Amino acid sequence: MEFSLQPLLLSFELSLITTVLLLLIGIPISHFLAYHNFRFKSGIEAIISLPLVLPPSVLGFYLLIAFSPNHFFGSFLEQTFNLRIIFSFSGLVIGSMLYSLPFMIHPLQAGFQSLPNNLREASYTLGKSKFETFFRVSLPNIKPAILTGIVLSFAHTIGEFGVVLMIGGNIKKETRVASIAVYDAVEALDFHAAHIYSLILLIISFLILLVVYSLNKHLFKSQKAL
Amino acid sequence: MIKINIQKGLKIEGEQKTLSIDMEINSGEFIVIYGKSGAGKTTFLRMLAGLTIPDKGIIEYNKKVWFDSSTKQDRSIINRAIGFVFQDQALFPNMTVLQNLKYAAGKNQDHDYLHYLLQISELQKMGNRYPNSLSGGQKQRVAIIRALARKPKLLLLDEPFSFLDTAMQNQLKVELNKIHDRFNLTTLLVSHSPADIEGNADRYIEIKNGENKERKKQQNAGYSQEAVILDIQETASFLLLQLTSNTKTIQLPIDKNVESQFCIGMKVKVYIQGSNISVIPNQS
Repeated sequence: MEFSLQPLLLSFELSLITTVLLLLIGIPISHFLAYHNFRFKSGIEAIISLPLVLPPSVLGFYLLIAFSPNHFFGSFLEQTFNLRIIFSFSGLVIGSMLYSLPFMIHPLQAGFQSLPNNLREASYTLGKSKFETFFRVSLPNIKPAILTGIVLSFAHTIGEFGVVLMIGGNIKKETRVASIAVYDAVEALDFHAAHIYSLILLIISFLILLVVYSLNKHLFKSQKAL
Repeated sequence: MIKINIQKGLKIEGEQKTLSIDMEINSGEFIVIYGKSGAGKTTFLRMLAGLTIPDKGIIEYNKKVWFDSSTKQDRSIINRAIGFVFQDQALFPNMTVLQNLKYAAGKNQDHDYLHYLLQISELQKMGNRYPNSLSGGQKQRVAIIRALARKPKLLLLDEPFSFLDTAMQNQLKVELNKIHDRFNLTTLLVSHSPADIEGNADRYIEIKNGENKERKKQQNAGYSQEAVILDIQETASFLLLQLTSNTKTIQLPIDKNVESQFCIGMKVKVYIQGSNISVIPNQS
């Protein structure tokens, strides 16, 4: 087995797409959870947080079953939309989104909850709509939380293994991401390739965290009067 | 005219009581609402603004229904055309002072008016500063002028002077009065101490035991005199003033912190409120 950049590029592509999609769905979900109390809120929060405690292989197993063409949902997707989720890149994206969901939702929800209520109220008294208040007041004032959510989701997706292996398998140029390439290299006793993949992942992970802590420090300083 | 007859259940001084407000406010009136901490003054202002929903009752503004529990009408906050000054300012940290004002002014921005607001609050040089770099008093001034930036019909102020020193309090009270007179702005000001705004308001209403009670205005509670500074005795922190009305000279002590605001020949206003005497630069 030879070292190839392909698994690393695939990991980056997966992480980038997952993070962007998570940000788009994470902002409205976390905003709703931060400001609304309803009957099943605890249940929904527990479901969102499940990937934090559930073994990735268990999540991957259930996704494999759910999207399998031999079962109702997978069969429905294939027959109606000609869409096959398992052992495909789109399957990896869905699995990664579910697996990294709490890493986006939790920081954003905490960010919204930490904003003083009277900031939104002040905006309403100035005649601004909820929509304008959200985009001009709430969102710009949770920048550190948004940054934390983005980086944690990105870093978590880059390092995922169990879910990816279960739902995506190990298909070259399609689902073989960097973490699986390390596993393959070790199994093939190619420690040289395993070292290169591992070192690159290690350096990237460290740099990502370094950037997030530095930026957060800067943003925290500029917004500490909140 | 604003007609208010509302009730709201809340904990007053540790007991579950009903806050019951029944009053009428004439257009252009300056009313001071006072009472002990926790009496329900802020809740009343919030109900008027639409930030808190009353349990029962009716609020009418110029014969338009803002709130009516019997017909379940509740006019949205954004359509009530009010200016609200929060006790803890609630400035937007992501915007500079000027951006806070522009955001409040909305699409129809009157730049001269915004400049005037910055001038009366002595914040001309602070336009590009962010709220976290301002002092408590400066933040409070921005909060007041931000509420005025959208040219509201009704101005609600919740303890707006609590973070200001005496000189700045007096100056803003004068400017608030000027703005009130200039725009015929109906103004409700909440304070825990009516002495803070003695002499400025048309009416004083106390909230006590969950109800509002009107107090007769004290005549001659406060007055002002225009004067010119003849001399500044820096060592003893005294101003030698000549009154414009009768050319008599008087000598007044001033706080060392505000000494730098004055210079010889400057026109000032001398305020006498009860036992308090203060001097501020005269910008009229």
